[in-house]
Amino acid sequence: MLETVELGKTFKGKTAVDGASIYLEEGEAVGLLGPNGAGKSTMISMIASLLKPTFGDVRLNGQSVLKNPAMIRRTLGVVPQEIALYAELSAYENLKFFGRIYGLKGKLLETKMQEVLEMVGLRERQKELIRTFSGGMKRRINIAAALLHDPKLVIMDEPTVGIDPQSRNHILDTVRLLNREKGTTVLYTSHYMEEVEQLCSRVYIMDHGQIIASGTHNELGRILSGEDTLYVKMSAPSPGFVHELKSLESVRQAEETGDGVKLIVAKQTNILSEVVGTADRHKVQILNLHVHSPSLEDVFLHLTGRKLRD
Amino acid sequence: MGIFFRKDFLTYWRDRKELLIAILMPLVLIFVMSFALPNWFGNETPSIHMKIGFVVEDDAASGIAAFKESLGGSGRTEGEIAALAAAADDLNPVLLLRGLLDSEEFRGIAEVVETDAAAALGQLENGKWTAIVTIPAGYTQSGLGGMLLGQEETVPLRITAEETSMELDVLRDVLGDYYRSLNFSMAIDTVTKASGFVPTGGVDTALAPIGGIEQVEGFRVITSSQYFTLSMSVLFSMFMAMTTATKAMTEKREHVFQRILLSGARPVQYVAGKAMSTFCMTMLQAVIAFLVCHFVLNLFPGESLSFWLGVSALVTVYCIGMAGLATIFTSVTFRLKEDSASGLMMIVVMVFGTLGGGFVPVYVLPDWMRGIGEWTPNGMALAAYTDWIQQGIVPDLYKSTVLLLIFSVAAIIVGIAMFPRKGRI
Ligand SMILES: Nc1ncnc2c1ncn2[C@@H]1O[C@H](COP(=O)(O)OP(=O)(O)O)[C@@H](O)[C@H]1O
Ligand SMILES: [Mg+2]
Repeated sequence: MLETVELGKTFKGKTAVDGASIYLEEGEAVGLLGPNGAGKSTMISMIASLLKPTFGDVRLNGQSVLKNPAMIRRTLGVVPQEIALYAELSAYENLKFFGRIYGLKGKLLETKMQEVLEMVGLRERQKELIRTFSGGMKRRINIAAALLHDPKLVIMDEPTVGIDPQSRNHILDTVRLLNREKGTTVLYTSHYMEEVEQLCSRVYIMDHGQIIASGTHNELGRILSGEDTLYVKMSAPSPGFVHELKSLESVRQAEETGDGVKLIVAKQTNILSEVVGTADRHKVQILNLHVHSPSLEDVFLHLTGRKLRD
Repeated sequence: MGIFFRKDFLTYWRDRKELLIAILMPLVLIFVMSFALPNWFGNETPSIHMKIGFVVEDDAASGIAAFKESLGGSGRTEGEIAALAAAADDLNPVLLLRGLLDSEEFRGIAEVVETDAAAALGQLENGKWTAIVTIPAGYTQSGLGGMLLGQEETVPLRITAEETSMELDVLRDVLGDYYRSLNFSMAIDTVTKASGFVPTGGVDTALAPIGGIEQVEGFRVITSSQYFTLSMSVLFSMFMAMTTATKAMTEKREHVFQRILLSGARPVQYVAGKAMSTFCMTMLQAVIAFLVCHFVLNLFPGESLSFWLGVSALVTVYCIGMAGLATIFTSVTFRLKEDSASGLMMIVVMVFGTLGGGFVPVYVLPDWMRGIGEWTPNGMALAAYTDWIQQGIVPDLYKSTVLLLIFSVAAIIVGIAMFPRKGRI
């Protein structure tokens, strides 16, 4: 349905997006994952033809969007990273305005407005001014405004940044509803791993303007196929114990967590007995020990040597 | 465009604080200044004094005789002819004018020297005199024909000046009022060197009828409260245009504008909405200022409907001009960084405001500044208002209205043309 071909953007000599190619099949929910500054928003602006690419192309159903930007307007709904609403107008007035500039009017507009308000769970509060809403409620209206014209493809740019858990769950539910029940194609941008893991069947990982990995959750996990993550929880902190763990041959990385240590270890080693043996020598009592299959967070850490949220 | 207009209007409306400031501030300033400086332009103490030459080229006696002669043979009865002849002796136009020029009231503003044409022109060119009032040959007969028989006057009174000036305005007003007070139509031609000694239009006193000789007025110098109402109103309209651009800045900063672009709406619609909402807001602001001041300060007592229509026309075209200024400002905010755009707008409004007489009366400014000030939108409007209020010359009103309208429409077009094209925002 949507495809970017070696898409790139340079701002005054600084490359924000560097030859990124992604594609979305109809009905898919795809995640675009990357830390702040990775180039996600720039990429979305180019797809929405708000920004002219320095090089590369964006194609919708095989046709170049650059040559015919009007084509993508009807199909596409963009939820911007920022709250792009009139603070001094009510939720209702905002939706009415944005609906009308999409050419909706009369009964149809009213029906659509009530539908999206219902979807984001703010129907009762539609008469209130955006200014008086909480961050999460604003985000929900921000999403609703992008759905009025029934877009076939919805792009969401970090729709859950800095909001309360209730609103966040609501938003995740909305995305699921859109994708699974209405068959809308979704490109979901985030730097929260859990969300992308929950919502998306496929993921692109972006860093420094480049797509550094892509695939289904399992495929990405296989990047780490030679490794496991091991969480060790101890009764009391013991620097000596941790230090010795780090020196073990099969331990590739070790990181102290609040009440224990997280180890990235090579697969198929008798690591468990080594850990237990080391604990014995240091008189450390292990409360809990479990092996975790790799998360996207781990994939990112592996690929870039950095954590996502820094 | 209607969609955008409604949205803009609504955002103005919601911003009560800003709206109140925009409407109350000019009122407060007008009241304060009118009470603090009531005699700045006061009627009672006109700070005007000029020297004028008085040239009589007409022989009144033979003019009256010629008039009497022309009465015969037109089917009038003996009695009618006798009455008209007697009236002609009483209403000798040259004597009437001398009476005015000799009056104490007139001597308060001007010193009159009677001389011949050549000498008078010499003094005028030296810059010693403000103007020459000439009674051309044939004036008596023509004037009597006008007064007594309602004939068209073929020989108007002539005022000659080197350049337009406030003094000249006053002179013209006084003479115009005088004839008006006599309740008959008497044409006056004003010629200035600037216009190449071509008459610039007569005072058509028939358009502003004032009945009765007892209504002899003072000089129609603009009052302070009138001046402040006009100058504050035009100044604050410019601030309103700036507010529009500031709101556009917010739309850009908060990415609402991006969302508008996403819908496929054309930037032109967006800018046109800005123009329209600015027009409405400035109209609202101006109408409130004029009406409140009129009723509180008794701004324009006893003015006619046509006077008010003229004022309305000027308010309307000026507000269209402010819509133009707002579109230019909006485009500037989209082309520059926020700080630079705000700074630039502030400078423009302050400079226009100063040169156009928004902060101090234009008469205080040096000539070169006044010259530039006449080309600022507010200065242009202020001049048009004062001309209309002082002189009430309809063709002049048309001229200034059309001129303002041309500038206003041009500003809107420039503003829209300056708006960045899609993909460059
Ligand atoms: N208009 C711009 N001018 C200059 N640099 C920009 C502009 N927009 C984005 N950038 C830069 O491009 C990079 C990518 O930004 P962005 O796409 O916003 O990342 P993300 O959305 O993944 O956080 C950042 O380094 C940012 O500073
Ligand atoms: Mg971003």
